[in-house]
Amino acid sequence: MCLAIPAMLISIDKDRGIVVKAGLELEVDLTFVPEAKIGDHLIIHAGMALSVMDDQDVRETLKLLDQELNNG
Amino acid sequence: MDNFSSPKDTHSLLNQLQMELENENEVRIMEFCGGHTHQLVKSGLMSLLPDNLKMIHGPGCPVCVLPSEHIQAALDLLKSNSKLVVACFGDLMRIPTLGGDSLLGARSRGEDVRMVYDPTDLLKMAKNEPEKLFLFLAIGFETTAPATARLIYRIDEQQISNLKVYCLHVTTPPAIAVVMENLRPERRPMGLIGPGHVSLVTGLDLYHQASEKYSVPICISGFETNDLLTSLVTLVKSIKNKKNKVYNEYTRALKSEGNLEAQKLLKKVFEFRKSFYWRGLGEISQSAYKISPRYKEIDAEEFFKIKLSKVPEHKLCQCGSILRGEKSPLDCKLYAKACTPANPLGACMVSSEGTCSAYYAQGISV
Repeated sequence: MCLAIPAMLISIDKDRGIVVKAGLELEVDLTFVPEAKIGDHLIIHAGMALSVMDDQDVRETLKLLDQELNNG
Repeated sequence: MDNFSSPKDTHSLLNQLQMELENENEVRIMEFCGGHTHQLVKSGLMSLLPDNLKMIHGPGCPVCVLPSEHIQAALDLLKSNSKLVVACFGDLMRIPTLGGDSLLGARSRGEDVRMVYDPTDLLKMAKNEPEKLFLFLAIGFETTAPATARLIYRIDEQQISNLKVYCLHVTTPPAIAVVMENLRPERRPMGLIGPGHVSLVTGLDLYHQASEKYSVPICISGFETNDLLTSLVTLVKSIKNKKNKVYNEYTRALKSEGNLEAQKLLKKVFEFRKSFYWRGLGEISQSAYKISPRYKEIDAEEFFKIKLSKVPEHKLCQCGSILRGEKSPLDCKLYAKACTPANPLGACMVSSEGTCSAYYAQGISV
Protein backbone atom coordinates (compact mmCIF):
# COMPACT_ATOMS: atom_id res chain seq x y z
CA MET A 1 0.00 0.00 0.00
CA CYS A 2 2.77 2.42 0.87
CA LEU A 3 4.56 1.52 -2.34
CA ALA A 4 5.76 4.69 -4.05
CA ILE A 5 7.82 5.05 -7.19
CA PRO A 6 10.47 7.53 -8.23
CA ALA A 7 9.76 9.10 -11.63
CA MET A 8 11.06 12.08 -13.58
CA LEU A 9 8.92 15.17 -14.05
CA ILE A 10 8.74 16.15 -17.72
CA SER A 11 5.98 18.78 -17.79
CA ILE A 12 4.07 21.04 -15.44
CA ASP A 13 0.61 22.57 -15.84
CA LYS A 14 -0.29 24.46 -12.61
CA ASP A 15 -0.77 21.79 -9.93
CA ARG A 16 -0.67 18.86 -12.39
CA GLY A 17 2.39 17.33 -13.98
CA ILE A 18 3.46 14.48 -16.20
CA VAL A 19 6.13 12.09 -14.96
CA VAL A 20 7.85 9.36 -16.88
CA LYS A 21 9.00 6.02 -15.52
CA ALA A 22 10.35 3.21 -17.65
CA GLY A 23 8.95 4.87 -20.77
CA LEU A 24 5.45 5.19 -19.33
CA GLU A 25 3.90 8.61 -18.77
CA LEU A 26 1.68 9.28 -15.80
CA GLU A 27 -0.26 12.35 -14.75
CA VAL A 28 0.37 13.36 -11.15
CA ASP A 29 -0.79 15.98 -8.67
CA LEU A 30 1.98 18.42 -7.67
CA THR A 31 0.14 20.23 -4.85
CA PHE A 32 2.49 18.93 -2.17
CA VAL A 33 5.72 19.65 -4.08
CA PRO A 34 5.42 23.29 -5.22
CA GLU A 35 9.23 23.41 -5.52
CA ALA A 36 9.31 20.67 -8.21
CA LYS A 37 11.01 21.56 -11.51
CA ILE A 38 11.12 19.80 -14.85
CA GLY A 39 13.85 17.17 -14.71
CA ASP A 40 13.40 16.50 -10.97
CA HIS A 41 12.81 12.98 -9.75
CA LEU A 42 9.65 12.80 -7.65
CA ILE A 43 8.36 10.11 -5.33
CA ILE A 44 4.83 9.28 -6.45
CA HIS A 45 2.14 7.52 -4.42
CA ALA A 46 -1.52 7.14 -5.38
CA GLY A 47 -1.23 9.85 -8.01
CA MET A 48 0.35 12.36 -5.62
CA ALA A 49 3.94 13.55 -5.70
CA LEU A 50 5.10 13.41 -2.08
CA SER A 51 8.76 14.37 -2.35
CA VAL A 52 11.38 15.79 -4.68
CA MET A 53 14.44 13.58 -4.65
CA ASP A 54 17.79 15.13 -4.00
CA ASP A 55 19.84 14.01 -7.00
CA GLN A 56 23.02 15.32 -5.40
CA ASP A 57 22.23 13.18 -2.35
CA VAL A 58 21.66 10.13 -4.53
CA ARG A 59 25.09 10.59 -6.09
CA GLU A 60 26.80 11.24 -2.76
CA THR A 61 25.12 8.28 -1.06
CA LEU A 62 26.25 5.95 -3.82
CA LYS A 63 29.78 7.40 -3.70
CA LEU A 64 29.98 7.02 0.09
CA LEU A 65 28.59 3.52 -0.08
CA ASP A 66 31.17 2.64 -2.66
CA GLN A 67 34.04 4.15 -0.63
CA GLU A 68 32.95 2.53 2.63
CA LEU A 69 32.56 -0.87 1.04
CA ASN A 70 35.89 -0.65 -0.79
CA ASN A 71 37.65 0.37 2.43
CA GLY A 72 35.78 -2.22 4.50
CA MET B 1 17.71 3.90 -8.68
CA ASP B 2 19.04 0.51 -9.69
CA ASN B 3 22.35 1.24 -7.96
CA PHE B 4 20.65 0.81 -4.60
CA SER B 5 20.18 -2.85 -5.50
CA SER B 6 23.64 -3.54 -6.91
CA PRO B 7 24.58 -7.16 -6.07
CA LYS B 8 28.21 -6.16 -5.43
CA ASP B 9 27.15 -3.68 -2.75
CA THR B 10 24.62 -6.15 -1.35
CA HIS B 11 27.39 -8.70 -0.92
CA SER B 12 29.69 -6.20 0.82
CA LEU B 13 26.92 -4.91 3.09
CA LEU B 14 26.01 -8.46 4.07
CA ASN B 15 29.67 -9.07 5.00
CA GLN B 16 29.68 -5.89 7.04
CA LEU B 17 26.51 -6.94 8.85
CA GLN B 18 28.01 -10.37 9.52
CA MET B 19 31.13 -8.75 11.01
CA GLU B 20 29.09 -6.43 13.23
CA LEU B 21 27.07 -9.37 14.54
CA GLU B 22 30.00 -11.73 15.11
CA ASN B 23 30.05 -13.08 18.68
CA GLU B 24 26.89 -11.12 19.52
CA ASN B 25 23.79 -12.57 21.21
CA GLU B 26 20.49 -12.51 19.34
CA VAL B 27 19.63 -9.07 17.94
CA ARG B 28 15.95 -8.47 17.16
CA ILE B 29 14.89 -5.81 14.71
CA MET B 30 11.35 -5.03 13.58
CA GLU B 31 10.53 -3.61 10.19
CA PHE B 32 7.26 -1.78 10.77
CA CYS B 33 6.25 -1.38 7.15
CA GLY B 34 4.75 -4.13 5.02
CA GLY B 35 6.63 -2.73 2.03
CA HIS B 36 9.88 -3.47 3.82
CA THR B 37 8.66 -6.97 4.74
CA HIS B 38 7.84 -7.58 1.10
CA GLN B 39 11.27 -6.38 -0.06
CA LEU B 40 13.15 -8.35 2.62
CA VAL B 41 11.47 -11.56 1.51
CA LYS B 42 11.33 -10.87 -2.24
CA SER B 43 15.01 -9.95 -2.44
CA GLY B 44 16.00 -13.15 -0.66
CA LEU B 45 17.62 -11.15 2.17
CA MET B 46 15.64 -13.02 4.81
CA SER B 47 17.50 -16.21 4.02
CA LEU B 48 20.91 -14.45 3.80
CA LEU B 49 20.86 -12.55 7.10
CA PRO B 50 23.14 -13.78 9.91
CA ASP B 51 21.50 -16.41 12.15
CA ASN B 52 21.66 -14.22 15.24
CA LEU B 53 19.73 -11.39 13.54
CA LYS B 54 16.02 -12.00 14.02
CA MET B 55 13.60 -9.95 11.94
CA ILE B 56 10.19 -9.35 13.48
CA HIS B 57 7.57 -8.28 10.97
CA GLY B 58 5.43 -5.33 12.01
CA PRO B 59 1.80 -4.33 11.49
CA GLY B 60 2.44 -1.75 8.75
CA CYS B 61 0.10 -3.26 6.18
CA PRO B 62 -3.13 -1.24 5.97
CA VAL B 63 -5.09 -4.03 4.31
CA CYS B 64 -4.01 -6.45 7.04
CA VAL B 65 -5.00 -4.27 9.99
CA LEU B 66 -8.41 -3.28 8.57
CA PRO B 67 -11.17 -5.33 10.22
CA SER B 68 -13.49 -7.03 7.72
CA GLU B 69 -16.56 -5.32 9.16
CA HIS B 70 -15.82 -2.23 7.06
CA ILE B 71 -15.78 -4.33 3.88
CA GLN B 72 -18.98 -6.03 5.04
CA ALA B 73 -20.55 -2.58 5.47
CA ALA B 74 -19.64 -1.70 1.85
CA LEU B 75 -21.01 -5.04 0.61
CA ASP B 76 -24.27 -4.43 2.51
CA LEU B 77 -24.56 -0.95 0.96
CA LEU B 78 -24.06 -2.42 -2.53
CA LYS B 79 -26.95 -4.83 -1.91
CA SER B 80 -29.30 -2.10 -0.79
CA ASN B 81 -28.44 0.59 -3.33
CA SER B 82 -28.52 -0.28 -7.03
CA LYS B 83 -26.95 3.06 -8.03
CA LEU B 84 -23.93 2.57 -5.81
CA VAL B 85 -20.40 2.25 -7.15
CA VAL B 86 -17.79 1.16 -4.60
CA ALA B 87 -14.26 2.25 -5.49
CA CYS B 88 -11.07 1.23 -3.73
CA PHE B 89 -7.39 0.44 -4.14
CA GLY B 90 -6.73 -2.98 -5.65
CA ASP B 91 -5.44 -4.51 -2.43
CA LEU B 92 -8.80 -4.06 -0.75
CA MET B 93 -10.75 -6.06 -3.33
CA ARG B 94 -9.86 -9.48 -1.97
CA ILE B 95 -10.19 -9.03 1.80
CA PRO B 96 -12.38 -11.95 2.80
CA THR B 97 -15.38 -11.27 4.96
CA LEU B 98 -18.29 -13.24 6.33
CA GLY B 99 -18.79 -16.48 4.42
CA GLY B 100 -15.74 -15.79 2.24
CA ASP B 101 -17.37 -12.91 0.37
CA SER B 102 -15.27 -9.95 -0.84
CA LEU B 103 -15.54 -6.87 -3.04
CA LEU B 104 -14.04 -8.93 -5.86
CA GLY B 105 -16.78 -11.49 -5.29
CA ALA B 106 -19.37 -8.72 -5.46
CA ARG B 107 -17.89 -7.51 -8.75
CA SER B 108 -18.04 -11.00 -10.21
CA ARG B 109 -21.77 -11.04 -9.30
CA GLY B 110 -22.22 -7.91 -11.41
CA GLU B 111 -22.08 -5.27 -8.68
CA ASP B 112 -20.29 -2.05 -9.65
CA VAL B 113 -16.95 -2.27 -7.81
CA ARG B 114 -14.07 -0.34 -9.35
CA MET B 115 -10.37 -0.34 -8.65
CA VAL B 116 -8.51 2.98 -8.65
CA TYR B 117 -4.83 3.85 -8.44
CA ASP B 118 -5.29 7.62 -8.19
CA PRO B 119 -8.35 8.52 -6.08
CA THR B 120 -8.77 11.83 -7.92
CA ASP B 121 -9.76 9.79 -11.03
CA LEU B 122 -13.08 9.45 -9.21
CA LEU B 123 -13.80 13.15 -9.73
CA LYS B 124 -14.08 12.56 -13.46
CA MET B 125 -16.08 9.34 -13.04
CA ALA B 126 -18.58 11.00 -10.69
CA LYS B 127 -19.05 13.93 -13.07
CA ASN B 128 -19.44 11.67 -16.12
CA GLU B 129 -21.97 9.40 -14.40
CA PRO B 130 -24.27 11.72 -12.42
CA GLU B 131 -26.91 8.99 -12.11
CA LYS B 132 -24.51 6.91 -10.00
CA LEU B 133 -23.49 7.35 -6.38
CA PHE B 134 -19.80 6.75 -5.72
CA LEU B 135 -18.31 5.52 -2.47
CA PHE B 136 -14.53 5.55 -2.06
CA LEU B 137 -13.09 3.29 0.61
CA ALA B 138 -10.04 5.23 1.76
CA ILE B 139 -7.45 3.15 3.57
CA GLY B 140 -3.75 3.47 4.26
CA PHE B 141 -1.26 5.01 6.64
CA GLU B 142 0.03 8.59 6.51
CA THR B 143 1.53 7.94 3.06
CA THR B 144 -1.90 7.56 1.47
CA ALA B 145 -3.96 9.92 3.64
CA PRO B 146 -2.79 13.06 1.74
CA ALA B 147 -4.21 11.66 -1.53
CA THR B 148 -7.58 11.20 0.19
CA ALA B 149 -7.35 14.65 1.76
CA ARG B 150 -6.70 16.10 -1.68
CA LEU B 151 -9.68 14.19 -3.09
CA ILE B 152 -11.98 15.52 -0.35
CA TYR B 153 -10.69 19.04 -0.87
CA ARG B 154 -11.41 18.82 -4.60
CA ILE B 155 -14.86 17.23 -4.14
CA ASP B 156 -15.72 20.21 -1.95
CA GLU B 157 -14.13 22.70 -4.34
CA GLN B 158 -15.97 21.28 -7.35
CA GLN B 159 -19.24 20.74 -5.44
CA ILE B 160 -19.58 17.11 -6.49
CA SER B 161 -22.53 15.63 -4.63
CA ASN B 162 -22.44 12.00 -5.84
CA LEU B 163 -19.00 11.08 -4.44
CA LYS B 164 -18.61 10.15 -0.76
CA VAL B 165 -15.53 9.03 1.15
CA TYR B 166 -15.37 6.39 3.87
CA CYS B 167 -12.23 7.41 5.72
CA LEU B 168 -10.40 4.46 7.28
CA HIS B 169 -6.90 5.92 7.43
CA VAL B 170 -4.73 4.88 10.35
CA THR B 171 -1.56 6.37 11.81
CA THR B 172 1.82 4.88 12.63
CA PRO B 173 2.90 6.05 16.12
CA PRO B 174 0.04 4.45 18.11
CA ALA B 175 0.65 1.11 16.35
CA ILE B 176 4.37 1.23 17.21
CA ALA B 177 3.40 1.95 20.82
CA VAL B 178 0.99 -1.00 21.03
CA VAL B 179 3.53 -3.42 19.55
CA MET B 180 6.36 -2.24 21.81
CA GLU B 181 4.22 -2.28 24.94
CA ASN B 182 2.65 -5.69 24.40
CA LEU B 183 5.43 -7.93 23.14
CA ARG B 184 7.10 -10.20 25.67
CA PRO B 185 10.62 -8.97 26.56
CA GLU B 186 12.26 -11.94 24.80
CA ARG B 187 10.43 -11.05 21.58
CA ARG B 188 10.56 -7.25 21.82
CA PRO B 189 12.58 -5.55 19.05
CA MET B 190 15.86 -3.88 20.05
CA GLY B 191 15.73 -1.60 17.02
CA LEU B 192 13.12 -0.50 14.51
CA ILE B 193 13.27 0.07 10.77
CA GLY B 194 10.88 2.97 10.31
CA PRO B 195 8.59 3.36 7.30
CA GLY B 196 10.23 5.41 4.56
CA HIS B 197 7.18 6.59 2.70
CA VAL B 198 5.06 7.35 5.78
CA SER B 199 7.97 9.50 6.91
CA LEU B 200 8.04 11.46 3.64
CA VAL B 201 4.77 12.94 4.89
CA THR B 202 5.20 12.98 8.68
CA GLY B 203 8.91 13.75 8.98
CA LEU B 204 11.10 12.37 11.74
CA ASP B 205 9.81 14.15 14.84
CA LEU B 206 7.26 11.51 15.73
CA TYR B 207 9.98 8.86 16.11
CA HIS B 208 12.08 10.72 18.70
CA GLN B 209 9.48 10.18 21.40
CA ALA B 210 9.14 6.47 20.59
CA SER B 211 12.90 5.99 20.48
CA GLU B 212 13.29 7.57 23.91
CA LYS B 213 10.25 5.93 25.49
CA TYR B 214 11.09 2.39 24.37
CA SER B 215 14.88 2.79 24.45
CA VAL B 216 15.38 1.70 20.86
CA PRO B 217 17.17 3.17 17.88
CA ILE B 218 14.88 3.82 14.91
CA CYS B 219 16.24 4.00 11.38
CA ILE B 220 14.05 5.25 8.55
CA SER B 221 14.85 3.27 5.45
CA GLY B 222 14.30 3.35 1.72
CA PHE B 223 12.90 0.30 -0.03
CA GLU B 224 15.75 -1.02 -2.14
CA THR B 225 17.71 -4.05 -0.97
CA ASN B 226 20.81 -2.05 -0.10
CA ASP B 227 18.72 0.61 1.67
CA LEU B 228 17.48 -2.10 4.01
CA LEU B 229 20.93 -3.56 4.54
CA THR B 230 22.42 -0.12 5.24
CA SER B 231 19.67 0.49 7.80
CA LEU B 232 20.31 -2.89 9.42
CA VAL B 233 24.04 -2.12 9.73
CA THR B 234 23.22 1.29 11.25
CA LEU B 235 20.79 -0.25 13.74
CA VAL B 236 23.10 -3.09 14.78
CA LYS B 237 25.96 -0.64 15.38
CA SER B 238 23.60 1.59 17.36
CA ILE B 239 22.26 -1.32 19.44
CA LYS B 240 25.82 -2.44 20.23
CA ASN B 241 26.79 1.10 21.26
CA LYS B 242 23.53 1.55 23.21
CA LYS B 243 22.69 4.69 21.26
CA ASN B 244 18.95 5.21 21.00
CA LYS B 245 18.81 7.69 18.20
CA VAL B 246 16.62 8.32 15.16
CA TYR B 247 18.52 7.85 11.90
CA ASN B 248 17.55 8.86 8.40
CA GLU B 249 18.99 6.45 5.84
CA TYR B 250 16.58 7.67 3.16
CA THR B 251 18.05 11.15 2.77
CA ARG B 252 17.68 11.12 -1.00
CA ALA B 253 13.91 11.52 -0.58
CA LEU B 254 13.18 12.23 3.07
CA LYS B 255 13.45 15.66 4.65
CA SER B 256 13.48 15.62 8.44
CA GLU B 257 10.45 17.91 8.64
CA GLY B 258 8.44 15.73 6.20
CA ASN B 259 6.08 17.27 3.68
CA LEU B 260 4.69 20.43 5.27
CA GLU B 261 2.11 21.05 2.52
CA ALA B 262 0.67 17.56 2.99
CA GLN B 263 0.67 17.95 6.79
CA LYS B 264 -1.23 21.22 6.43
CA LEU B 265 -3.95 19.62 4.30
CA LEU B 266 -4.22 16.60 6.60
CA LYS B 267 -4.89 18.92 9.54
CA LYS B 268 -7.51 20.82 7.55
CA VAL B 269 -9.43 17.82 6.23
CA PHE B 270 -9.14 15.26 9.04
CA GLU B 271 -9.39 14.99 12.78
CA PHE B 272 -8.51 12.08 15.03
CA ARG B 273 -11.12 9.49 15.95
CA LYS B 274 -11.41 8.92 19.68
CA SER B 275 -10.64 5.29 19.03
CA PHE B 276 -10.34 2.81 16.17
CA TYR B 277 -10.37 -0.99 16.15
CA TRP B 278 -7.36 -2.57 14.39
CA ARG B 279 -7.22 -6.22 13.40
CA GLY B 280 -4.69 -7.87 15.67
CA LEU B 281 -3.91 -4.79 17.74
CA GLY B 282 -7.42 -4.13 19.07
CA GLU B 283 -8.93 -0.80 20.03
CA ILE B 284 -6.37 2.02 19.93
CA SER B 285 -7.21 5.57 20.94
CA GLN B 286 -6.32 8.50 18.65
CA SER B 287 -4.98 6.11 16.02
CA ALA B 288 -7.09 6.89 12.96
CA TYR B 289 -8.43 9.82 11.00
CA LYS B 290 -12.03 10.79 10.41
CA ILE B 291 -13.28 13.50 8.09
CA SER B 292 -13.52 16.87 9.79
CA PRO B 293 -17.11 18.19 10.33
CA ARG B 294 -16.44 20.99 7.84
CA TYR B 295 -16.53 18.32 5.08
CA LYS B 296 -19.36 16.29 6.62
CA GLU B 297 -21.38 16.26 3.37
CA ILE B 298 -18.63 14.17 1.80
CA ASP B 299 -18.32 11.83 4.79
CA ALA B 300 -19.81 8.43 3.89
CA GLU B 301 -20.25 7.54 7.56
CA GLU B 302 -22.62 10.51 7.93
CA PHE B 303 -24.29 10.09 4.55
CA PHE B 304 -24.97 6.35 4.68
CA LYS B 305 -25.28 6.19 8.50
CA ILE B 306 -22.87 3.26 8.40
CA LYS B 307 -23.37 0.79 11.22
CA LEU B 308 -20.77 -1.89 11.77
CA SER B 309 -21.45 -5.42 12.91
CA LYS B 310 -18.58 -7.57 14.08
CA VAL B 311 -17.37 -10.05 11.46
CA PRO B 312 -15.76 -13.13 13.01
CA GLU B 313 -12.30 -14.12 11.79
CA HIS B 314 -11.48 -17.70 10.83
CA LYS B 315 -10.93 -19.56 14.11
CA LEU B 316 -7.49 -20.84 13.16
CA CYS B 317 -6.25 -17.65 11.48
CA GLN B 318 -3.14 -16.24 13.18
CA CYS B 319 -3.17 -12.82 11.48
CA GLY B 320 -3.69 -11.07 14.82
CA SER B 321 -0.63 -12.66 16.44
CA ILE B 322 1.44 -12.10 13.28
CA LEU B 323 0.48 -8.41 13.21
CA ARG B 324 1.46 -8.08 16.87
CA GLY B 325 4.86 -9.55 16.04
CA GLU B 326 4.20 -12.57 18.25
CA LYS B 327 4.12 -15.24 15.56
CA SER B 328 5.35 -15.94 12.06
CA PRO B 329 3.21 -17.31 9.20
CA LEU B 330 4.94 -20.64 9.76
CA ASP B 331 3.18 -20.87 13.14
CA CYS B 332 -0.24 -20.85 11.43
CA LYS B 333 -1.93 -24.16 10.57
CA LEU B 334 -3.77 -22.59 7.66
CA TYR B 335 -0.70 -21.03 6.00
CA ALA B 336 0.00 -22.39 2.50
CA LYS B 337 -2.58 -25.12 3.03
CA ALA B 338 -6.14 -23.83 3.33
CA CYS B 339 -4.95 -20.20 3.12
CA THR B 340 -3.20 -19.14 -0.08
CA PRO B 341 -3.13 -15.91 -2.12
CA ALA B 342 -5.71 -17.46 -4.49
CA ASN B 343 -7.98 -18.26 -1.56
CA PRO B 344 -6.99 -16.07 1.38
CA LEU B 345 -8.68 -16.85 4.69
CA GLY B 346 -6.90 -14.08 6.56
CA ALA B 347 -5.98 -10.53 5.58
CA CYS B 348 -2.21 -11.10 5.88
CA MET B 349 -2.47 -13.39 2.84
CA VAL B 350 -4.29 -10.75 0.75
CA SER B 351 -1.95 -7.84 0.18
CA SER B 352 1.53 -8.45 -1.21
CA GLU B 353 2.74 -6.49 1.82
CA GLY B 354 1.06 -8.93 4.18
CA THR B 355 3.62 -11.14 5.88
CA CYS B 356 1.86 -14.38 4.89
CA SER B 357 1.55 -13.34 1.26
CA ALA B 358 5.21 -12.24 1.12
CA TYR B 359 6.34 -15.57 2.62
CA TYR B 360 4.09 -17.57 0.30
CA ALA B 361 5.25 -15.74 -2.84
CA GLN B 362 8.82 -16.76 -2.07
CA GLY B 363 7.92 -20.36 -1.32
CA ILE B 364 8.83 -20.13 2.37
CA SER B 365 7.29 -23.18 3.99
CA VAL B 366 7.37 -25.06 7.26
